[in-house]
Amino acid sequence: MFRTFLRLGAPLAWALHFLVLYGAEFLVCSRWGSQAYAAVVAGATLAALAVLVFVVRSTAAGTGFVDRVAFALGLMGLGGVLATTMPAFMIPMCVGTA
Amino acid sequence: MTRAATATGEYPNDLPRPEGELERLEAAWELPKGWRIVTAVNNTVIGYFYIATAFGFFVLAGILALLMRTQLAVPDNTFLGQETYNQIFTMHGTVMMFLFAVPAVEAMGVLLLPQMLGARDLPFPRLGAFAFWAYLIGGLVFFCTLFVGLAPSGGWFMYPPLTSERFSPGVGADFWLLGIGFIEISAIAGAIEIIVGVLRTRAPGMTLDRMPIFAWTMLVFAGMVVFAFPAVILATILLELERAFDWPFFIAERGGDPLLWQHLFWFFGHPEVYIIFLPAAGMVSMIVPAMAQTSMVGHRLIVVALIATGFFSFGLWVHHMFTTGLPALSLGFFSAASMAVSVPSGLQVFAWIATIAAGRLRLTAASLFVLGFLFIFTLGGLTGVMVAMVPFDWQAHDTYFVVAHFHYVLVGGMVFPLLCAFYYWAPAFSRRPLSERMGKSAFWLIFIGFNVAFFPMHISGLIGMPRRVYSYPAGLGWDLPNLISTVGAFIVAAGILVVLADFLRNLRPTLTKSAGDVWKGGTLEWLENHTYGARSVPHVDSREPLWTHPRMSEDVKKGRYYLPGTMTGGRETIVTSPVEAVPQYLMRLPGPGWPHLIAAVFTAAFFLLLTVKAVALALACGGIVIAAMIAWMWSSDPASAGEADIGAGISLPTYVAGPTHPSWWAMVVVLLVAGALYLSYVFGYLYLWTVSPATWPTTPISMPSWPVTCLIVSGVALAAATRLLGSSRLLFALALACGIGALLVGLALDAWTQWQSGLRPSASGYAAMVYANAVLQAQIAGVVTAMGAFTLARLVAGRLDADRRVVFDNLALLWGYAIGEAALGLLLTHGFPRVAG
Amino acid sequence: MTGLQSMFAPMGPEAALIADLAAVLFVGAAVVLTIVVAALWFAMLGSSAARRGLAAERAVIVGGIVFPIVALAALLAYGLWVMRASVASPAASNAMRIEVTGEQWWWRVAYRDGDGRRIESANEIRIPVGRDVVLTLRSADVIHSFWVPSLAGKVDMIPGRVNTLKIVAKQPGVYRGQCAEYCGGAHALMALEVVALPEAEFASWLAAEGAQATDAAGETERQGRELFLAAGCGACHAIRGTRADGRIGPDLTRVGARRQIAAATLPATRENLARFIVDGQHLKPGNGMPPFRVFSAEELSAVVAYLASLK
Repeated sequence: MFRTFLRLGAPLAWALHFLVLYGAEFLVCSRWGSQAYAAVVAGATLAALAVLVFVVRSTAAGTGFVDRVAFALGLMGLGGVLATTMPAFMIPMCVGTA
Repeated sequence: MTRAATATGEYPNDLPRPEGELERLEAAWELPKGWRIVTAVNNTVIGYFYIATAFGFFVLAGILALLMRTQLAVPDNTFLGQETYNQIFTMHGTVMMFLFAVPAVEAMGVLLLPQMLGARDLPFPRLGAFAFWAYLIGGLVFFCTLFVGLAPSGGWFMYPPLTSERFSPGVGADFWLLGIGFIEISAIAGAIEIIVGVLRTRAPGMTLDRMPIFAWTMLVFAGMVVFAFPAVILATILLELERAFDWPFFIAERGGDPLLWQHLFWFFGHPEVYIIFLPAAGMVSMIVPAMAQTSMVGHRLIVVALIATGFFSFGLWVHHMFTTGLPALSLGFFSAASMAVSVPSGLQVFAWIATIAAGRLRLTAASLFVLGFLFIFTLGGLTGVMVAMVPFDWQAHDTYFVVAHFHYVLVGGMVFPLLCAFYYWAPAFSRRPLSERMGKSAFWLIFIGFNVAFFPMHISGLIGMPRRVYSYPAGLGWDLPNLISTVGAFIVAAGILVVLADFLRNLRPTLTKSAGDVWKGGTLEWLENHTYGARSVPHVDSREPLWTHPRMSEDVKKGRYYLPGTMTGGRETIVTSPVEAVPQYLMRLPGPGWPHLIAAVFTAAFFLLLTVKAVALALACGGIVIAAMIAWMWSSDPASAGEADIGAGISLPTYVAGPTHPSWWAMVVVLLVAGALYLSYVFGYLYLWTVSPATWPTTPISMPSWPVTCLIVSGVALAAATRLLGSSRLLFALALACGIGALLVGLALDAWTQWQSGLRPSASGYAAMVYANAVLQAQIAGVVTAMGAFTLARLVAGRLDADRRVVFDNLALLWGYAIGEAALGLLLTHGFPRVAG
Repeated sequence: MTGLQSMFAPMGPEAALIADLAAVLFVGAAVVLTIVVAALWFAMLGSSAARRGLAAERAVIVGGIVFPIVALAALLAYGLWVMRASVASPAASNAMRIEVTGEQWWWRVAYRDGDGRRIESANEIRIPVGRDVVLTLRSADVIHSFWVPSLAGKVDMIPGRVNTLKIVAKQPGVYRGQCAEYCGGAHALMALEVVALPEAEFASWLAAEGAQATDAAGETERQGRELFLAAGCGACHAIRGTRADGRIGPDLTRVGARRQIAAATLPATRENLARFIVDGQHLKPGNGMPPFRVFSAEELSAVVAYLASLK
């Protein structure tokens, strides 16, 4: 059950990663500054990537419908997480937050 | 699965079929005669009504568009006045989005899904019928407000403070909030029906991998409705509370924030675009293979694309708020997600092209609409990538460029596929197919007209024309593109007229003598259909069973497959397991009736009367609704009729409880809706805190010990009632009554403590949020109470016992959820101020 | 394709960056659309080899996944770079600050002179060429959006929030803008003009703008002033140096020097001034000013003469 859930968890990992990066900007920046926010971004990204790599690796060899779908969703999730992280590298953090 | 039907000639049931079997099946599914057809609940009948109504609203909103284009044909025009124009553009957007697009795709699902999945009907026919009638009546009254000048004029996304009591004092905004809020509820009812239908009523053997793409899209569609619509329902509740009782959720001076509305609205609004587009893409994925006579290339990739789109589309909402002054990095995140979501769409485009290449595309009217769709939607997607680029959007946002963009996406992505679907599926539901010649002329008129109308809008937007202007001055270079756009709009209208004329000439709805499989499609909706769907339910072992088994249509008609007649004498459908589609249960379905219809009429009346502040009358209507719903639900959950043999030695129970029963799944979906609504509220609460933390209390009120105790009591009573149902009726009734009573007392005590502390909802955004929690909790608790009373009545009437317990199982789910939500509410309203302060 | 209000006529650095970005996007979109249409063409009518190639799942993966990911990643990086250039660069230390407040359906404008004294005006923003100007954007009622396409993208004006926008005009000229967020009734009639002046000219203009209203020169103008004050116009409008100190409507201290009236929707001719006084509800339905039909024809022209003399 847990493994099935984890295999299909790729989109969820992307969603949580996205939510943490966006939400933390408002909650962390104003109180603890941009360094703390950078740590949050790094931590969340590493965690999401770990989940996604696990999903991709554990489904890569599978041939069933659920495995193939989970594998492809894992790759899509990886792309999504990397895309979401790109702005954090290019735009200064905590600028314009009240 | 014991014996499966195979091509070797082994079938679940033998021939010849017993005498009278077909007649009994026909009798069970007979339609009400004459005007009583309004009491019908068959998915086909409701599907027809639904599509006709949705298309009717499309034509009405299209006429509004023509009025606007006439006004904008020349600069400084006086054809329409300012207020009239503002009402018209608001209604055009609102009607197209809420009364046409969403209902139209939902209607296609209602009409097609059971046929395509090999079910006899949807699992909750009366719920589907209720949703339709509520939508029809609510929608018509809402539209008619335009004729008396009471229509809303705040734009289809209704931004406060423009739509607040102060700046929009009339009832127009209330009509929008209550009318649309209520139609959204009807959309959610449809979504529940579709989710359970797709997951639980597929033909035996139709595993998820073999499920048609259209069913996949409807599943993703319904899932998205479940998570997206609650956000806008919450927003409408909050804004209506603000308008009616001055609770300042969106009033900046008192610690509210106008942007809260935008967050909530677009958390719904952006997924909404995909909610509309995905089912349309699903239709295309059915039609392209049929027209090219080959399987869809990349079937699994498309499934992945659909799921990915469903998720990514929830990460785009700020994409409509790039100019509100949010931090640059936030905008960057949403820009990235906006890019990510275009990948799955691009994948689908190339999969359709690959399928066309793999087969030979017959150039029918439907194929033309597919080609038009591919061109227009691709262009709309490309401009979508442009507006996802934040700096470009700073210029393009709220201009005619955006108007052009979303019409390319929505008309290209939804109207073209819908027209395509009409031409493709008409023979399955009409005595005659539609005319190919008229279809092709209509296509060319609509395709050319559309591009003439909307392409120039890209230009008028970039050279400075904002959207939603009722007039513009000469000399800014906008005159010519606007004139061209107006000409194009009328060409589109001519094309739609041709379609309507074709309907009049050729569309002859029938449930018994349809023209049938003229395109040689591969999926089950092309079996010979009757009021009961197909005569027998085939065993599915491929994605295109009719191509794999050329004799299937004939064998199905002879009754060689599962369930060739009625086993219990009434309407029934096979319930299968969600992933592998193994038969589990023979579900009995209700026939025609009045209660759901009466409930729909008076639900609409209730909301509309509330809008015009006729509270007493509204309450009377509410009473009738409750009475009608009790009458409706009373006949549900019939006692077991023993085992039923559906063929191949498979004997199915006619009564199940717990997670095997479809209503358990429906209730779980309801809980997801309620959970999404409450999470939206939690977001709103925390969001207002980030905006104006100063309005949060520094010294929180006393700990809510009594409410917590009440919740614990309620939880214990729930556990007790679950055990006592089998043993003692009296103790069960006592546990039920006490438990629900404790829940109500706990919630009331908490609200009372807040009130006693001097907190008033109109004081600040914080206070309003605290009482909004009470309102949301009261809604759920109210439903739990009503269901509890109903359960007790069933107990007294002897319709509830240890075996026949579905009614209680459903109550238990909701009751447990209500306790959880109440606990979360206490944690938030009492715990958060302590942590934050 | 240049008009008075076009993003294709960039006259400031942000607008120029965005115009370049737009050009890249348009070319890219044209290329992609061509590829898709060509693929569709070959899928239907191409040689069997071409069709076999297109029909492979690999074609779907390359065309539908790999290509979009590469192209979109590049675009995203470019877009973020443009964003960084416009958002993350601080304004110069000699930046001029101007407060702009959106109201239904006009723009309240306030400058600060050298001593920090607030100078109020309306619907016309004058700026010095080549100098950074930071606009402080607020709303007094509903949401509006400040947009002058030739200078920069739009920024919303939201009640309870203060947004800023940095603009620079590269050369002297008049740049038209318009409210871009639907703000109710006469949203279509809420425009403004940004007039960029050479630094010296701007300095003398600002000095004049900050002074008291010019004294009524002739007999007609004096009569007009008395009528203006007697009719209660001063309850809503301010004319510095007179009793009129209303804050509800636009400040009229130098209305005669403005190019347009009614939020840049009518040229500031005497006829239009007179029409707006008598029939403003017809010219701009729903605006806050009731029709003043109390004046006789001569009185009206005296009032108009007075207003036109306020330069």
